[in-house]
Amino acid sequence: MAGFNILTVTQITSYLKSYIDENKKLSGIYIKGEITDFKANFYSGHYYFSLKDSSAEINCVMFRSYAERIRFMPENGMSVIVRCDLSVYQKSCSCQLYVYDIQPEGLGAKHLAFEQLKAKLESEGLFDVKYKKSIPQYPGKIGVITSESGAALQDIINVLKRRWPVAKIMLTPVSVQGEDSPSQLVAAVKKQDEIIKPDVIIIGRGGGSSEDLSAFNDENLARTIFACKIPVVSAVGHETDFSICDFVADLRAPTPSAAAELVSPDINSLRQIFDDNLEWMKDFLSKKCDDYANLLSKFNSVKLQSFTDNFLFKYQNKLDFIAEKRNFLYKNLLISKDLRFSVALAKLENNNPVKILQKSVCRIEKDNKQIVSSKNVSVGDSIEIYFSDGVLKATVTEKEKGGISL
Amino acid sequence: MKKEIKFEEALEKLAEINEKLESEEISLDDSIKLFKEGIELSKLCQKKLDEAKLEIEKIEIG
Repeated sequence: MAGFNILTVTQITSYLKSYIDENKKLSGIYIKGEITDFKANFYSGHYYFSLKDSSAEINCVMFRSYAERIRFMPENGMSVIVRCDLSVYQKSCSCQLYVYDIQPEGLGAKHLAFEQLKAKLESEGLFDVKYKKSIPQYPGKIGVITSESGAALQDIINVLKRRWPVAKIMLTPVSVQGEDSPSQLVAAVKKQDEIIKPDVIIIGRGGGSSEDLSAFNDENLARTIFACKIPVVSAVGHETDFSICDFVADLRAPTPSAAAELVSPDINSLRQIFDDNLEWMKDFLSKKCDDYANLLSKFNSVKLQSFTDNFLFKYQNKLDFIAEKRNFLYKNLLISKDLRFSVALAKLENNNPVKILQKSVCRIEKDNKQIVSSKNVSVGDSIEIYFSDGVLKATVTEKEKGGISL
Repeated sequence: MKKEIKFEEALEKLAEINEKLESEEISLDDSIKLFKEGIELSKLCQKKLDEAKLEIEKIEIG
């Protein structure tokens, strides 16, 4: 084939590639289609897929640096619009799209990202009711994660001032929107959980656009809240706004004010409880005192009376008995004393020398006259001694002075 | 410095005291001791509620 201009494979594919690449109409183009054969390379981080419609199909590649920026995970069957350049992969001479960005058709990318993250976390169990911690009834310290200048903080303060001024707010100020927001929210939750350790945490912000609220849809924030050991109440935007943060939190409050209400008891109802308790105690105490007083009065009027009666009766008997016994003993004593006295007296009388003398007394006469003294008798006188059983005629032979006196 | 008072604990304690008071076996001496304890606790809690003033402490995350 002499004379022909012979090209190598590389030369022709290079030509084709540069021909296409130089065509401005084929770069920065938007292509609409349905994703198929989607593969995310685990090591490189690049996405490989095809776009197809009813009659054609084209290969696509999205390098990691672009793939990292999209907030959702492309899926087969998804209708998308890609922004891309058309070029040639020389190795197989295949025409393919080099994709910079993917937008889901219909739904916004953020919305899709939200739905996908929600589905993912839900399937992992992060929203399970069994992990929800209960909110303390009477919190001492209330952690608050929000903007220092936002309306949310003021709302929370106002509610707590009114309902539960017993609490102390532990505020970790963060920016609640913008690029730094998610990492600040994560840092604040960690700080509250690990260092401040309040009884409960409120995380949130006031209302805003869905873009404003997007920091609360951060996956890392969701996982940090899930891992937090302290109960978290989420209050993001208005009642109609739902964030990933709401789903993973232990309790979702429709607004920051509502969050403050949900974590606080009403001070007046607690006051009422203590009032009632004091009242109850006082009533109970006075009733108890009355009961004891009743018991005492019953004891006084009935039991004590019968007790003393019994006592007296019993001891009266005993006393009577003692008295009787004493009288008896006394009488006996007297009788025996009397008796002994008489006996002694009788004995004494029997032994009385005078009596003895009297017993032996006789009548002495001299010249028919009774002699009552020895003086009237002289030695040699004849006397007659009259006994009861006879008369002795005697002569006085001797005379002595003295005698027996009575 | 506000003294920490756990209202949950105080209420639990009061419930315990009331239960003991209502039991039959308790002596008059013990019940008076319990009344004193209960009334003091109630009053202390009320005092805390009356004196309460919302405090705010700011802790930077940095």
